[in-house]
Amino acid sequence: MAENRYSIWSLLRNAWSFHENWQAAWRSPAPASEYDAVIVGGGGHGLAAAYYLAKEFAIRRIAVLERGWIGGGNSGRNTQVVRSNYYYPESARLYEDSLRRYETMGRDLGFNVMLRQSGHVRLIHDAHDLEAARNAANAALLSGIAAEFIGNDELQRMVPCLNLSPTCRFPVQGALVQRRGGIARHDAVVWAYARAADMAGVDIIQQCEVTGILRDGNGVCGVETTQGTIRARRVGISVAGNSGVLAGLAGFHLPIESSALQAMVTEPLKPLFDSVVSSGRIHVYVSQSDRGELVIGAGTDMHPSYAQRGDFAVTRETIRALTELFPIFSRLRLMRQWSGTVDITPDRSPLLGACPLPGVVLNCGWGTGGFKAIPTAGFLLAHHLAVGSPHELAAPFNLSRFSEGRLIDESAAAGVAH
Amino acid sequence: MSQKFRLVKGGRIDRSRPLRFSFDGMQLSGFAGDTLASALLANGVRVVGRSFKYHRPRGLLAAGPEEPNAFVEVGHAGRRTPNQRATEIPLSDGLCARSENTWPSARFDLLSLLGGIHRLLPPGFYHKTFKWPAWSWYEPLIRRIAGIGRAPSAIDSDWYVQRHLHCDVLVIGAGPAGLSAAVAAAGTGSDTVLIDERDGIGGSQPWDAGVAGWIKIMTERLASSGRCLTLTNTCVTGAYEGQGFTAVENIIGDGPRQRLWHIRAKSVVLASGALERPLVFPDNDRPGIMLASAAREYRERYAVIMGRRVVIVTNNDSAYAGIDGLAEAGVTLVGVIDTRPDPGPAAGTLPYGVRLMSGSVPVAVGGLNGCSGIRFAPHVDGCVTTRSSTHLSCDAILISGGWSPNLHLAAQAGAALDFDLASVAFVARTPPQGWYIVGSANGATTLEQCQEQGASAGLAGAAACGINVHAQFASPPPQPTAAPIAPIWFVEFSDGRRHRRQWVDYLYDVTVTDIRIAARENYAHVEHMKRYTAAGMAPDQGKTGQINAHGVLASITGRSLDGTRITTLRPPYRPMTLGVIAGYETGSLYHAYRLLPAHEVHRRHDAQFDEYGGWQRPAFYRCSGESDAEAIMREVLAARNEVVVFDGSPLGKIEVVGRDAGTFLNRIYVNNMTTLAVDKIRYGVMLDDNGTICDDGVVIRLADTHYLVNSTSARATTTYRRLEMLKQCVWGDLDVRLIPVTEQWATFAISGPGARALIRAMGTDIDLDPAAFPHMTHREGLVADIQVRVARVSFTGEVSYEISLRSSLAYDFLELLLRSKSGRVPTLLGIEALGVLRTEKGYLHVGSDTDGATSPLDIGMVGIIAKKKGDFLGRRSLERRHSQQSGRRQLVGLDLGAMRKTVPVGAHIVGDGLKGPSIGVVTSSCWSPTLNRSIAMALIEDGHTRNGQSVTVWSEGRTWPAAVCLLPFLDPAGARLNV
Amino acid sequence: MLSIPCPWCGSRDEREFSFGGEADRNRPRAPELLDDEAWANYLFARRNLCGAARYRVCHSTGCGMWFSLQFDTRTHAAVEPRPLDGNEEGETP
Repeated sequence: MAENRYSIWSLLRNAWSFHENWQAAWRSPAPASEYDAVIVGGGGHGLAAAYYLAKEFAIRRIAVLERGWIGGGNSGRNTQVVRSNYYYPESARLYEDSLRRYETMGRDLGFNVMLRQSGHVRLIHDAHDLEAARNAANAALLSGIAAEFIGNDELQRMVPCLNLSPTCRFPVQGALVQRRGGIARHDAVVWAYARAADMAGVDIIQQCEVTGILRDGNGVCGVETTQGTIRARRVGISVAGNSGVLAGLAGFHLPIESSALQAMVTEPLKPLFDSVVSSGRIHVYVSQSDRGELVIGAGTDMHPSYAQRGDFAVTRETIRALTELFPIFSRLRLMRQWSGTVDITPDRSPLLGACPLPGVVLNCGWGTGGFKAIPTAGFLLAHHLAVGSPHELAAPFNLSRFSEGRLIDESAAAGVAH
Repeated sequence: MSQKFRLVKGGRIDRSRPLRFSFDGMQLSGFAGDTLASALLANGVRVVGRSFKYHRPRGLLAAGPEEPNAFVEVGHAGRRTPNQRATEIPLSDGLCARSENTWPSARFDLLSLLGGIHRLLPPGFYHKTFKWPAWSWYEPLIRRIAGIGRAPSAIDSDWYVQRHLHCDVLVIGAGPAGLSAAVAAAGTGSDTVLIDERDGIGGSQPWDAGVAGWIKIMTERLASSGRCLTLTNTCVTGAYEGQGFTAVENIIGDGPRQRLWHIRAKSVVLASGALERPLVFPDNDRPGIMLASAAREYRERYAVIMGRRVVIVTNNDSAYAGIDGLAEAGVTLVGVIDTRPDPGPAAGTLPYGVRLMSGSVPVAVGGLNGCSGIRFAPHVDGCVTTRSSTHLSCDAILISGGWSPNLHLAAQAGAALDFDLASVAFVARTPPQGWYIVGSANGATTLEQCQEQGASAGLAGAAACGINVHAQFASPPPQPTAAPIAPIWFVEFSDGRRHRRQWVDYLYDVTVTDIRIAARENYAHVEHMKRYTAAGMAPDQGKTGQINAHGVLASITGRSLDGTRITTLRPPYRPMTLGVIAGYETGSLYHAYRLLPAHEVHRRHDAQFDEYGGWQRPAFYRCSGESDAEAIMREVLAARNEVVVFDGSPLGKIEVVGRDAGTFLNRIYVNNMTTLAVDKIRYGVMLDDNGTICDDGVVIRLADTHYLVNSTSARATTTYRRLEMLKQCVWGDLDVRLIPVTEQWATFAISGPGARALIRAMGTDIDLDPAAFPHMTHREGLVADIQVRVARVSFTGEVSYEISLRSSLAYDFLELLLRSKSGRVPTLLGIEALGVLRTEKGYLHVGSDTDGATSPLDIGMVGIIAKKKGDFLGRRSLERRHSQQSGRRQLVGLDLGAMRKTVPVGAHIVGDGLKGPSIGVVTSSCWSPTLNRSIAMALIEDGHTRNGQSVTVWSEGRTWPAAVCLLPFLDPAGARLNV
Repeated sequence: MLSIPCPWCGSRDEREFSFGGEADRNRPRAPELLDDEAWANYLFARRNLCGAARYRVCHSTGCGMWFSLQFDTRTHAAVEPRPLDGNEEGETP
């Protein structure tokens, strides 16, 4: 596979030959009739799981089944934010592991995912915000994750266009910063894992929708798909937004509601600021892509939805919040608005591990924050599928926490969708 | 520079009103009625912008909002606006426009050197390199090169408005089809709205005298119907569920800059026309190459020509239609390159002497900042097999690659757009429910077809709204758009010349080669190709390039386009100003503060306001010379030693009435509410069904079947809605009514040892004797001759009377209180001092001292729950293992010794170690002037069993020693209350 | 920009409404009789249908009444509003 390695040299060599010798980034094989493990869902999570299964757990025959095109769900619809400053220690450990994997992902997978660690800035608007931010910062610090308060002077340097007037409706009084937070190019993460998984022998099968889950006395024994029956004793479900549908096929209900989460971009602009700026108080966050668009994130719509389209009322609230924080953006123009379908759990924490059907392992419930968890979520799903039991990072997020009443309620701590 | 490309006559411009403007520092002139684009062309400005990636010189391609090249910045200071298309800017006197992303100018741009290394920059090049040492080393430079316009540097000096509109028939597009539809619909008496993004009625099609007359008659008929609202300069940007639409109106003249219309229609007639596609061939991005229809529009509407010697390149009949006009304008048509081997009858209409090169394709275009000539060669099925080519010299090239129905809005509304081989276009085979697609958006090619389809859709739309007309709209099957067409998606070469660049997406510099590389690397799904190459993702939203990109990809991968779905089209159809989306509820109207009924009185007494749950409330009151902390301490001590008045008007108040009111409340509160006697008061805690505390407050029993529930101020609305939900959805069989009265009653708490005397001094008919009116009871009566409700409840730990009265009397009542006749003037107490007083007493504040996991067991309500009979919300959850087990965070006090400093709220508790796992968090903290020491409350794991245990308070590396202690800090027996 | 029909007020803009979950999810009459699993099912498990299902909706800034509505989560079509029939209490399905 050395020929297929990406570098400045391969680029020069291929430029010389008019780019006619590039290899496919991944193959498009026909599905085999049986695999050792099948991952349903070809998003970042599913592809990462397949990669780690092959790479770190030496499972041989692996397929990723994707209903449409890989990365076409939430992997390609999010706002690209990575960070690990979560409140509960179990969450912080998980997202910190993920952020570390992001930090080396480009080199590990040989594919530049354009990680920009220019800081995740959480704005503080009043005393209550400050107390909540201090609580979160201390939680992070005690979990070994850096968190830093900055005053308005430094904030002005980091985000020059932010309105810091003390007389506005929600005046800004400093911010809590995770310097290692930032953004990565979402599609690139999908492609990087797809390519690496393919090189490790994984079959990535697109246009292959799972229409049934087969079981026998021992649990799951395969899946019915639009490309025929595929047998497997280990099935990972990693289909954010559609987790409820897959659970329905497997014959159980999940503590999940599917909802539309929208995001939007403006027309491209010259660089304005580097960080991700978020306000939990007025519910908006924004970063600027490498291409120059402002990438704006909103909250979820008010009703359940699988439609991948957003309500204008939410778009409007989000833009109002944005122009309140950045009045000079008022003359800029909204270029595109889209939505993804997200899994919302009652405690806004993911749902990982075993389910009522033996052999099926869940990776779902990531809500509005799944992108930043891609590498670790993939690893944990791979671990559970290969080993048969959850990794210690995943264990707290099992399904039985709901019947035990042991919720990991990040909603109060996060405040804003992310 | 004179307007040397302006015809001496013709056009719909006002030659009596010359306008001066500048572009990239050049002083130029135009006429009223021009757009910036037409005026630039008139002045012979060919290079109007640069492409995004290679900084290629670019000229105007189109005449409408689909223009992909001419991005400019206009205006100054608070009106500086980036990323405007020259085609959508009406020319005005003194207009100052600058090209974007160019240095130093559009005509000469140093970054065009990037074009020299284009082979090193294939799609995805940044994914393949820049990994060592890290992307962050390269990214700043790449970001600086990327981007288009500059963001404004000053606050917008314009303002924006919004309006809602309901109508029967919404007609989008005021060309012949839309106009016919609107006239027909309005004629039936239905409320009709006609919208067009252009500045007038009539659409973009050519106007001869006959058409102009028809448009005039129809416009008059529309006006005389009195049923049609016509909005020009208005673009429908979004189509949502329930036939909801957003439209942005550019307001000409003074007043707001733009208006956002929220429209809801019963029927929709989409007459949005069609957009001409460019042709893809080598060097097709040279300035001087323009869509044939755009050139015609510039000529007929603005009397501007592209050049003196032009060549037409086409793959369909439509480009032939404007040829007569060229000669009239004095333009020499050098030749027509028709890619079709047999152009059919259209070619027969060519004037004598014009060369027709059928079955040929362009293979090169000469020139750098303009066109100097074109080379063409014969092809077989799109493939050029010969090395020889023929040259024609020309200074402009007009291209037509066929027409795409403009179905963006239909797709937004959920219509599937499938590729139709016959018309070589994406069509909506099934329009959305309640929609009628007409005119060239529906494949109509002649004026008559447009008029016919429009009129019948107008009638059918009206009929669907219940208007009694006989109408039937038979949507004709998709017809060949514009004219017979044979697509050529790009020019293939049988030899090594395939790398001549052929542009598909102009702005983002996506070429056929890029799409070929994407396909080779298996980014072969159209969505992958789009994301890998960025084709169609530029601010022109793929209006010109997207369908060609589909075609090129299909040709390269050998797939048929038949039945292909178009990549998702997302709102908005045209970019929308953020300001107009935000509307007028910005600045002080953004989440406007709620004000207390006696706000003015507080203000006059130097209240320092802060926001609490949306209300603007006094944080404290400043006397001269005091610091904030001194003021707060003064207020606290006044409450402990004298008398204070606190405005608690936002306190949530819900009256609960009915035979089953007690039963209802019993199911909602942890505490027993049926055993509460009339005129008695009880504190209660509410849970959600997961057993988590969600609100607290006192409940007053006013009569046997009449309770008054107090909720915390911040949750007044939430709790009312929750109770209403429970009443309607869960216990609909109970006889109970809920009436939210928070805003009807103002509430003032009079508290402190002198409270009773103060009220007596004001004059009251209520017996205030502690025996007659003890703590936790309620009375109604007169105070200062005002009818009031008085509750003896206390948030301070002192004797307190909470007096509620009609909100409209709050102002006078507070005035009376503050100039009490007895000479004993109460101190005004703000929220901050109240926080200190309640912390001293260990009264919890829901949301601060509880979080999303705190159960009543965690705040010491075990006994109350054990005694309570029957179910209540959340009770079952309290019996789960996790609610009962050890390790839960429980509310306790922190004894900080004689420390003079307070610990910060949000600090964590770390057991004995100096940096260990967190076992809790400080939830309230203050300096207690009463106790003369620092106190705090905290949620700590197993806190109730840790009494006396020493712990460490930890915040950002600083530590404080503390000991867990019981609450409250002050007066545990309640001696100060029960006086 | 959904248009939602209220049984009492007619069709109104979505901003006047709030959604309250699946209409057939009723609070058990005797929670104390359920085991933890069954109680958790009531509290948290959702059918979460991709398609049309009935939801409880409140016309919160209008008449304030709760009703049930057929809502399609794929198309956002909102039809057949029905008043709640009084006592919705019952066993979970």
